[in-house]
Amino acid sequence: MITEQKNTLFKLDSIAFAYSEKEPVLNDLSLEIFEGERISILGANGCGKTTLLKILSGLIFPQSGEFTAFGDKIEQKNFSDKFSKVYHRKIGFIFQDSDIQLFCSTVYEELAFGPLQFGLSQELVKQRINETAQMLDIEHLLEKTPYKLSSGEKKKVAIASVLILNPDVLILDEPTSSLDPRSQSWLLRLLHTLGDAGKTLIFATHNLNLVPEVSDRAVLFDEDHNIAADMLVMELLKDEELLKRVNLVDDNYHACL
Amino acid sequence: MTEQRNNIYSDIPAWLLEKNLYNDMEASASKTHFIRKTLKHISEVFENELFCEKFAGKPLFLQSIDPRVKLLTLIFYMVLSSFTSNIVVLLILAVIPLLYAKLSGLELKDYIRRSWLYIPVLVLVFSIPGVTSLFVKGSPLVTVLRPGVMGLQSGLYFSMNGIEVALRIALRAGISLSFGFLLLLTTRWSKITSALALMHVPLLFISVLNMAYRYIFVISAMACDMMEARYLRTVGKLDTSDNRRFMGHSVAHMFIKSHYLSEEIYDAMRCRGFTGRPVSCDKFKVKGTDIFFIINNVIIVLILIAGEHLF
Repeated sequence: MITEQKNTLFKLDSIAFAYSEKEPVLNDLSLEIFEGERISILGANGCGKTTLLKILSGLIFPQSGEFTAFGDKIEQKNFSDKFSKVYHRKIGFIFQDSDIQLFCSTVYEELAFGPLQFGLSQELVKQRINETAQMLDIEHLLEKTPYKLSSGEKKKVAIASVLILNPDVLILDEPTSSLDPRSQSWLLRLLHTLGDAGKTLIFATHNLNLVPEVSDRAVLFDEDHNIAADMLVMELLKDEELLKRVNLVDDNYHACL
Repeated sequence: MTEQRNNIYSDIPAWLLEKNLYNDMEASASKTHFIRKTLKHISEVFENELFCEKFAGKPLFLQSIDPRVKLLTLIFYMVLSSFTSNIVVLLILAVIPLLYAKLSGLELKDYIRRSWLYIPVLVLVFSIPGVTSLFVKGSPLVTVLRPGVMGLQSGLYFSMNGIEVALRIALRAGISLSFGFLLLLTTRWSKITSALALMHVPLLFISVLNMAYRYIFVISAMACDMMEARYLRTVGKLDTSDNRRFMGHSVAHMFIKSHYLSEEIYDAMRCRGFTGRPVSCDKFKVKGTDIFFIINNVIIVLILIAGEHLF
């Protein structure tokens, strides 16, 4: 475990979650995430990465154990509309499938949706849309309908729709999926800049090439949904045996390359 | 490395590594082209949307009118067509959208095909039994059965009254469709929903409309992928029962996927501050052209109301 003199943002203490009784996704999981960290959640398919991200985002709640975020104990019964707004203002969640995240009829409305829900003035919303669109080079897409965009463009719009809220914590589920190499390097540069600006960045991925580029710390899940390692990324990548054991590296896969 | 690769290949059955000679396939070609037809219908959903976008973006007559003014005016015409029973007034009402369509740069041939060729014709055909002398009396114009035949004392015929009733029903359907298409073809969907929001239609209702519109394309794309996958693996003719079974499975699969999508979308909305009360950002201003459009239409409506008594 890495400990630094920083504020704790999220603290999970022996939490458990299951979609059905017979198949627990997270079991007795304890984890602490600090302010300003860049952390990768790693593991093979179905190990519980996305479920963990959804708990951190306040979309689902642990069925046992204790979850604390920003100093508050998070429970479904306390998660009122008012609290939900305050909580989600601090956290930006970028889904793996951009189609899920783009539900408005134009890109402009998509960007405006979040700020308007949070009660920002019309002028400020307009200004932020223009600046965010300019930053992500999507000005020409503003009047388009999201379903007509390419996968890369959809991803950019999904990122813009979250960044426009200026969240303190950015949670990304498989951020480079469906992106071509140029868009991937664009995204990495953006994430570097946001990380340097002090944002807390949390990624879920099983793409090992991405991990050292975007994070300093890695939390590794094994296929039994337990945390197999919590260490510095560079140390983890050297431990090939561990990566093989959790099904992130495979001899045959590399032999075929 | 070669040894490792050989180990991997040892699990693969021998037939999979042999070259296929394709001489074991005896399949007759499908005459119904069921999958191809289904694919075509799904792709039409997209084509229709692209067709609408093409015209809605043009800076022409109706496109430049405030969506609220346009929405109210076109709905008013539809309501007016339901209240009038005068055939001449109905015919004039049928011509008005054509003029507006021409002024707005729509392709008239295609517009007429969409508005008048299918539904009004079907309505006319289906209303025929209901406008015979069995239900609508009058002096005979077209006789189908002479009096006394098949036990019908006054026979079976169409009167002028009956034909007028059938025409009225078909014209009303066509007029409503014409104005509906006119609105959709000259206004972007987002503007229509914004106009509804500014007219105090509940935002939750508008959100549901917006999401239904948005995700019909996502679901259509999913259906199209499923059909294409099936098409690529289909050789020869399939039984109708197999096709029905496939459609049943597809519908069930789409239903499950849609349910999953709806939950995920709601999560995505919550992440961006949605708590059940959506907020809209559009602001429209009534311009000089809108006032001119309103005056113009008020005059037309007054003429039509006067015409109700004159014609």
